[in-house]
Amino acid sequence: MALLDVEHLKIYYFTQEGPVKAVDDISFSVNEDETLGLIGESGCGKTTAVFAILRFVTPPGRIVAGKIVFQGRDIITLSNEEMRLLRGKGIAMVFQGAQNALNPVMTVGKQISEVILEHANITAAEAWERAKQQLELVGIGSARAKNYPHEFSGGMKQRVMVAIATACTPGLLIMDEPVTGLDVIVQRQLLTLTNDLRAKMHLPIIFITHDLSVIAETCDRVAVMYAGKIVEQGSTVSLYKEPIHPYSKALINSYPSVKGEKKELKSIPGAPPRLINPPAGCRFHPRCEYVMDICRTEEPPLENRNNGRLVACHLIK
Amino acid sequence: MKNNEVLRVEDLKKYFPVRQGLAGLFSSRKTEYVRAVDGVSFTVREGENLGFVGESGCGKTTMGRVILRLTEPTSGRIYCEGIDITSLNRRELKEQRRRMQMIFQDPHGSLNPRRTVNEILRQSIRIHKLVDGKAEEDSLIKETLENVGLAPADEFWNRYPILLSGGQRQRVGVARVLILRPKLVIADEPISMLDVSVRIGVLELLLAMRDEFGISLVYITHDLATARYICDRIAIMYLGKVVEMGPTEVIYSKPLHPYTQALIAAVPVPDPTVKMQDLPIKGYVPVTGTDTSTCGFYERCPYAMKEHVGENPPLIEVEPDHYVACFKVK
Amino acid sequence: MVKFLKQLESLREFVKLLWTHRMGRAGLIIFSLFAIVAIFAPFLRTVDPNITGSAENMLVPPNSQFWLGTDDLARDIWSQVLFGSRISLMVGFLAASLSIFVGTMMGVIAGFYGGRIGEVLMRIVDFFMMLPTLPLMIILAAVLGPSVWNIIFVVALVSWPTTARVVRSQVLSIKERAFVEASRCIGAGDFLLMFGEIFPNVVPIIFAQAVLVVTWAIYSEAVLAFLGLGDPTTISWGMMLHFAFESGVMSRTPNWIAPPVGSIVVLILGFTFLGTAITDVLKPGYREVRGL
Repeated sequence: MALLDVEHLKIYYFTQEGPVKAVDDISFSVNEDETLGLIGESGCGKTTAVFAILRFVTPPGRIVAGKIVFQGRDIITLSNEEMRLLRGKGIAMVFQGAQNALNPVMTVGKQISEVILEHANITAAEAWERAKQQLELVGIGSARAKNYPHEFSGGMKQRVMVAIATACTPGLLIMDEPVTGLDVIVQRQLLTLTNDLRAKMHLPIIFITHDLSVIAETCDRVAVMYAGKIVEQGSTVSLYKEPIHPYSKALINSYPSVKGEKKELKSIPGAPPRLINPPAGCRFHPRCEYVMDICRTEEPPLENRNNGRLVACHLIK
Repeated sequence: MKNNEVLRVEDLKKYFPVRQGLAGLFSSRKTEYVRAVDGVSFTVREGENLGFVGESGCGKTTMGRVILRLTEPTSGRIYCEGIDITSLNRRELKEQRRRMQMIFQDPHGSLNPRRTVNEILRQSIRIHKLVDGKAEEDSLIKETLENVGLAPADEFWNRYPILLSGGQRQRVGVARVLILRPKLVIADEPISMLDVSVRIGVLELLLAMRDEFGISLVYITHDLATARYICDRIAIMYLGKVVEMGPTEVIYSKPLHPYTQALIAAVPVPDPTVKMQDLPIKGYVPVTGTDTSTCGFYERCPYAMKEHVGENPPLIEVEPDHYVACFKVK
Repeated sequence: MVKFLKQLESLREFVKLLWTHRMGRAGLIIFSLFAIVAIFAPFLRTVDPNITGSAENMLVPPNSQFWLGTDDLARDIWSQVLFGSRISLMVGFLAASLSIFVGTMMGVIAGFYGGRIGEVLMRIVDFFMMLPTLPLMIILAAVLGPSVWNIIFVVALVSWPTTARVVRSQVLSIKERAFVEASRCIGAGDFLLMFGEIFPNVVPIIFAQAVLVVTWAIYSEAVLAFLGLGDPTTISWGMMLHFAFESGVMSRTPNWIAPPVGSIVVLILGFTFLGTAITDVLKPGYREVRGL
């Protein structure tokens, strides 16, 4: 059984203009000791989807359908108290722009031990020791436990966030655009850290980003999201080698690389749609170069190809 | 001075004094400076795209602003098509502005939220009195909108920026400078805030500006991958100085400066079969204002040697058109 | 012409937005009510409020002839209240306009230039802010003489510094935004930058500030008139209270006190509601949060 099973999840935002279908029937799963990448552009619903896993969806948004089964329990049906206990211990999250999530008037050591004390029945002194260990783990060093967030650079603050998130050895770690906005070298150091932690703690990770190359460096499997739907899913290696869905293909073909041959890049015409009134049929059809009549009227279902690849496209028939 | 030089920058410096506060009044310490741009020299030829690549804090954005005199340089000379613009007064500078323009990073913040698309472009025309009469203005605006891919022009004519997508806003930003037919455009991270599927489209627009209108580009970015795609030559900046400069493919295939090598090694590759290389350097970018008598990279350099302390490596041409500032490379 | 119609259109939109705001709706209703009263006062009055009468009509409690009764000179209170609204609104708007104009000029110039000019201007602002408002108003009104125009001047004089401060801080933050630098890069001069680029983005805050100044002006007019510094020949709510106080029978004639006091309170409340609503409505993202 998978560690996390998301089934037919739908999250709508109810505005006066009508419901915005931010996440419209997506299903994916995460197994033990693997990293799943969730890639998509702004507004595709990836952040909303993982917010639902932590039940952070606030009105006017609502989970209207679906199941989120974590370690055998459906998260949607849990009580508020059960959910609170789950956050941080069962599932932890590193947020986008997390550097602003640190309390400026508390030492980093204290912020880590706070989380530990919340979920474990130990003394403050023991929690402080564990906090120091966490700082060692992320490469900051226990000597800096008494420093305040403003004494750290952007990349190091991000590491503190990782230290906080992994403090209670969660069963699942979600990272939402953790390296976006960081300098190249700092980004690389953080990605190396993520891979190390993965190896050391056997930590399953959901990694959200819009950056194809980052996914290539860190994720075993990847799900491509577009306009609230998952259009393709599969192992990173095979998907990058042979993308099937036109959007995945277009994304990969529009990614410049510093190594290898300088390839011809193609832009994707148009822009991601507004989800208050998504295109009928396949949501990608207005921008698709292989569009057929059926694409304009019928939504393609997510289908299983024999090698473990899932694709939602009429082309594959 | 060669005739086809669009821009020549000589030993450009921009130092920001570090505010001492009240205590500074009483201390006898010399004022400290942040050396944002510390002696940069280069030329851009006609029809050429030159990229400036570096991490945050390396001074590339400041340099772009100083070249256009949006901030005054501390010292150095800037020549646009042979004219020394560093010493021009305000009126003369305004005329020169037609030839040198900038495209900004933030598509949302770089357009006045209270102006429609045609009003934004009209302002460019009116400030420089490009044409006479409203009908002429309208036709020039229409033509420019079509040039940047915002067609049919009528659809965008009365739109406020808030109703435009990020890519469309950047296109308006390009239109705003294109309408002046400049010789040089400095683009400061023009696509970093756009959706990935839209980025290549805007890059292609910048390339078209060069091909169709002969506009040279100075492309400032931290993104090595897109710089490779659009630039003919690349300059790598670190702590306010250019540490390596040369043709794009040479820099990417045979980087000589240790920092360049680290940068290229650090960029993730969109190919999952390629494993991440180990980074040869350590640590983080030091705060500027520290000891500047030594090579700025000394503390992080894997090839650092004691003999290198106390002297700054000069930028020398080690191969035709390939410059490096490093003691290791002779 | 087209531009004017466009601006009317956006004004309509703006008013519609205000209507969706609870306080905005209340404020709009109150304001409209008083505006109608002020405009149509000659048609709504029962008797000429200036006409004094004979002894038997003095201090009459409300009846069918004098809806709210009469004052100590047999003048109809209802009609006085109606005409008093004209003074209050006029003082409110004119004083606010003058105050906003001066304050905005100072604020924009000080904020845009900063440096020496900014410092000097802000010190002037500080000086004016330091002056105690009520005593200053009283002294000026006493010195300049009783007249509505003097009151307008005095109120503007005392209230412009706050506007200058508010505008300046807004200008400081807008000045940093990329589109201002973009215009400068295109070649726009200082004047165009200040009034073509920055000012349109300051207008929302000026609206909110203006509304507050109006409330303050209305209140100040009432206070000054009550203290006897107003023009005794004009009818205003403050003046009515002044005469009521002078007459000595204030404690026995609630029908004389309540209408002017009530009107002042309700009008100021209405504008305060409007001010709050404008500030909320103009916050970016207001429409999204309300699901509009």
